[in-house]
Amino acid sequence: MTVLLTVERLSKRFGGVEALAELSFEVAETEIFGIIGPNGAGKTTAVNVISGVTRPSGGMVRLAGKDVTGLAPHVLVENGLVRTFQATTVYAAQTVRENLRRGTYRQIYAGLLPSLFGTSAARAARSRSDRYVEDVMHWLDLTRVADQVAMNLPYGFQKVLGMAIGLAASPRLILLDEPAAGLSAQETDHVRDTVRLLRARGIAVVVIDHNMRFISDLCDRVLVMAQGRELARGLPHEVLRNEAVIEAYLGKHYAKQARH
Amino acid sequence: MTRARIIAPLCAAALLGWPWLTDDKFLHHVGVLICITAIAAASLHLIIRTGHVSLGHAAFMALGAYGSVLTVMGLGLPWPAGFVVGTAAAAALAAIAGPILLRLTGKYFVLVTFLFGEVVRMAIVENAWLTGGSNGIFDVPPLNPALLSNRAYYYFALLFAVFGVGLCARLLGCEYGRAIDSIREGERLAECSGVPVIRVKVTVFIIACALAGVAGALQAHYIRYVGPESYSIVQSLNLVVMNVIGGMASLPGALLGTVFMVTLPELLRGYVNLQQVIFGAILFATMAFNPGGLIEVFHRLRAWLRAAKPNAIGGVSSTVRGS
Repeated sequence: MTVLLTVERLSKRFGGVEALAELSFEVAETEIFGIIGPNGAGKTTAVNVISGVTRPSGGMVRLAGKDVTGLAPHVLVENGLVRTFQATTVYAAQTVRENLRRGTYRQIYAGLLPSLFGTSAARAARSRSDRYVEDVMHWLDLTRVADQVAMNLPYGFQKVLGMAIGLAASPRLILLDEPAAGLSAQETDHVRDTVRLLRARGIAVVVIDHNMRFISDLCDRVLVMAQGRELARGLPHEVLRNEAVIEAYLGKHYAKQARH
Repeated sequence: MTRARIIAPLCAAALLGWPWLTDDKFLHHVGVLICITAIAAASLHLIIRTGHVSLGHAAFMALGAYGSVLTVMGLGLPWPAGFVVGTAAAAALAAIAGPILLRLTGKYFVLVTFLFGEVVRMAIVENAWLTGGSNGIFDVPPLNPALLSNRAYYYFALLFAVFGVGLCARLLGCEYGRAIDSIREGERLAECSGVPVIRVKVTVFIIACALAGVAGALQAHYIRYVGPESYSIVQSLNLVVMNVIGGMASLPGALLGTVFMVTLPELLRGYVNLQQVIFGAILFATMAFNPGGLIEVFHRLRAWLRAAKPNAIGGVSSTVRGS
């Protein structure tokens, strides 16, 4: 397996608070990599720093060998790294199809003047993106809701649409920030199946959540964080039996019980 | 498509033909003002579509106006050079100020653009050696003796309005417009689809302010006077109100608002005091009952007509198609 994303000793301090302390990990191509941890563990900070929303205080992020540390989000998209957000994941007032067309910006943008004058290059890019949007809807089973306005969709569908917008940018790696937060069990399964479909399209996924079952169902490998640091890493079932992990989640008492 | 083919020539005929239906110079004058203001309002609409309400748009009209007048009168160059200099001055200031201003959001952008507009106005007042100070510059020569009549200037301004508004419409209608709307509706999301948010905003801001400069130059050479009071907060605010009354999210709305806001005060000239009251009432009513603006009323009316008499409408359109 070739390594796609390399995170090396990534740190982020907010004043005196160390939100992220020398976090290192690697994600292989088409791997689903989970990051879990209790609230305040630094998961979202990790996503924000990797996706360029905030700048790191130290460390390095490499994508397919290229140093992309601290690049702006839209530049990272050009390099094939896309993320989703916990909230505001869709254009609420637009149809599903229009949402996805907006997601294809990276492919269709031929420049201001070609776009303005409708040159043949711009038109070709446009029809290519329209076809790709139909493909994305087909892959993620969104075709039947193509003309529905996003805000009228059930919440679980909106989350799936958020991932579809990410897929529309045709990334190599997608970062999902708590895609299953606030979802019912059935909706969580829908999101889980969608993540698997992303991987089936050759995309590596880094997914963040604190729902243990969702993560252990889905991920090839899991990294557990607490207080900005790595606590454990490995296969899901191994990690979840780790004493330090149980302690971080449930307290010392349960960790002792697990030992006996 | 067929309907657009019918409506577009009709609109063109109406815009070109109406000045010959009347010899009233005052009506021609209102026509000129609408054309000039339409460019300014449509260009402000571009900025509003990126999610920023600018209260300093008149400052860029001022730059276009002074830039053009000073080039023509001070340097003795022909008017096309004046228009180019005025437009370039407005665009240049936008290129300098834009990257700073556009990092502000919401009410902070509104407040700072208001201050920015006032700073520009004060700079004009204070540099009397160049700008004539608060007296302004009188006796601006006409562009051409042939353009001295209101009717002739109407066609001249109409040409610029068609070009300016057309540019705005095209910009919003092409893929670039999709990026603009994405930014307004979800800036972070747009950025994570690869839209270079600040670059798009600054580009749109420069284009919009250059168009405001064109409007300013057109206006100065029409009324043949430039003064700082024409470009105060009142004018900036009027441009915003045109967009609000017409409908913030659509370009035709901005044009509708322009026609409304230019025509009404000209018609109510006898009742200057009452004017402000009527404007206030209309603004209140718009914001309280019809936030979609005038264009929304139009859409609702059309939907209602269709629902009420589907056969009658169908009959009319088929007759038109047949003829």
